Amino acid sequence: MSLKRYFFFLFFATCSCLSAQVLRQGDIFERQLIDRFAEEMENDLGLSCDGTGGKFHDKLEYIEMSFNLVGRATVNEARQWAIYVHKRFLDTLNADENLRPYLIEFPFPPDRAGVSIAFCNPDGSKQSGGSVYYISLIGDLLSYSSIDAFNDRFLSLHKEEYEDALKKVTPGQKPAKHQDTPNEKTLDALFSQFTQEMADKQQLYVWGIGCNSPENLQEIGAKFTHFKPLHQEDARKLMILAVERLIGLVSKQEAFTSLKPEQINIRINFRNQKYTPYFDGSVESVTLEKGVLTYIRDPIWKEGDPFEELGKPQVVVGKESYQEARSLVENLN
Amino acid sequence: MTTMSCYEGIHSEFLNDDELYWRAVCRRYRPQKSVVIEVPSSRPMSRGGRPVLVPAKGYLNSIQLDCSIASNQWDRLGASVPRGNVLDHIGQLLPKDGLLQLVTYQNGIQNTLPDFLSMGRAIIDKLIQFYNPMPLVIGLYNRSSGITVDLDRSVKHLANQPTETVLRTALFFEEFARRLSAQHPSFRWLHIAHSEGGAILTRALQALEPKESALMKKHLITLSYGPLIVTPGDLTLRSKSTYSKGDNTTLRYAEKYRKSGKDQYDDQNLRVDFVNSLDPPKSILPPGDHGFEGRTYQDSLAKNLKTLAGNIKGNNL
Repeated sequence: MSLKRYFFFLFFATCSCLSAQVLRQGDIFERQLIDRFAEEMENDLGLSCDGTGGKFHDKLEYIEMSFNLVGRATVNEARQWAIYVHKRFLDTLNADENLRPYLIEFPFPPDRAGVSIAFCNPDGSKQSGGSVYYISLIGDLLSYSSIDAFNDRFLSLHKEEYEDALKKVTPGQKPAKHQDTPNEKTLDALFSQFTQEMADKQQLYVWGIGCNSPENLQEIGAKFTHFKPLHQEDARKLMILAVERLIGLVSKQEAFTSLKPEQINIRINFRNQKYTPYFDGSVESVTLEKGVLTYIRDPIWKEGDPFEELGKPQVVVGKESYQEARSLVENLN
Repeated sequence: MTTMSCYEGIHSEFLNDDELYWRAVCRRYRPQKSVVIEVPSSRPMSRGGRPVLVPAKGYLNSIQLDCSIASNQWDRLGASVPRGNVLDHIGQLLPKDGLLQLVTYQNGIQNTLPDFLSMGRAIIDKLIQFYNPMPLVIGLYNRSSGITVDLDRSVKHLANQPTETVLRTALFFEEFARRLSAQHPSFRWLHIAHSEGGAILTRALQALEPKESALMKKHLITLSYGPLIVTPGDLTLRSKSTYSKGDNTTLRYAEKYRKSGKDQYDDQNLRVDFVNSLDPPKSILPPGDHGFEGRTYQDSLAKNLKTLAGNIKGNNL
């Protein structure tokens, strides 16, 4: 790259705040409203806005905002949050006299404003310990989801019509933050200790961890990333270490009955710093699910190999019961 | 097509009008093109009922580029994957009654083929949660040629200078748009871009012929993560760009859209979200929290795809 281009790049990197956007009046009012409402929600309810969207051609046809809230929520609590925030959003929209000429209809109807709330842990990760993770009110539908921490996938918990949801909440009542039960507090502390230990001692970095219900703990699911390539023996050892430690921590808590390995689902993905599998013959992932460890390997690929080689199927290179795996690790030791 | 030096004249002629400029560039170099995507016939296209992302070869006349493709509609084509151009069978691969018909994606700089494949896997893993039937997925690999060449190309995108990558992408986009509109008049197409892929997207959209450009404005939705250039909404049906606050690579290019400490910037042309980093970087050096497959962008992608599905169902596009 020529020196000239290099400096040009640096110039862009450091002076990229020079251009100004010319906004049309309606856009400005919409933007002001969003900023104002986001600030109001943050100050009043502790909601942090992390996304906006909508449809504004000549008129504002649809608008949506998404928020994060630190804490758990039951389905009932999540409903109260969504309905309350949505009502405040609509009231703010309809009260804005500047924006009024740009609304496609006045009053702006509920189904033209969308709201979603993600319930998070203090570090921003997804709430998945027996809580709703995500509620969205889009159109006429409220949709409640939790997270399967093992696979990092949304699980649909419940859906209901907006009109039905309205009947189940106290109108205008400000939602209260979920008060953690003693079991929830214990579980949070346990998960925090476990994930911190795994990071510090085993370089296992948590992606997500959760359970069925803190009040009746029957199942724990977790997903980790390890940023080094490992072969089957070392992957096995890592998994056994993690599971034994988790079982040990749970058994120390009076609030919970001891768990068996069959009640723990853990996925460990082996990735480079870009979260890409190694494709070098090492294990792509090891999972413990229903008491069985499964080792998956990607095809081997080297720089210069044709892309087609990467398309070869992943293979299961090993499958064994937890007890077998544990014996193998003990024999090694 | 292969010699780019003649761009210079066009560059100065149309420099002040992005669309005219790019269109002129494309016209001059638009070959007697045939856009082809071929899939190795021996690959299984699904496993356990889930579509598998398979490597494919894309051809623009004689120029080859790596692609990837996944579809759970292969069974409509019978037991064997057809030889020849997959695009000739696109009508059978598009889920007619799906929320989305096509999803395309493109990576940023310094990405290997495994990175590209892994990006596609991550996208499919999210899509299957919210889109049933699954749309046809096609990845367009933005080949890395080393950090110097990649950075040089990025500078050209920023400076609105032509690159072969943009031109190729534009020609593929045109072909997809034409094929889709012929098969499914009300098709919905989502393009997901990361990093430099976001700049290629914007420049490629500016390079389209008017007819295809109009199709994009009616049918294309874009989601960009840490894009080098924010895609203006007036080039598409709906566009959103998302930046991690811990992104030390491209966040600087979007800082101008953050209004005096506010985290949202919204207007008709640009929708930009700034989200908290789930993996805050330990230093201010690049890349920081820029990886597409890191927790921050994957979390945003999942939320955006879920919301998009709700908006399509609610007719809010």
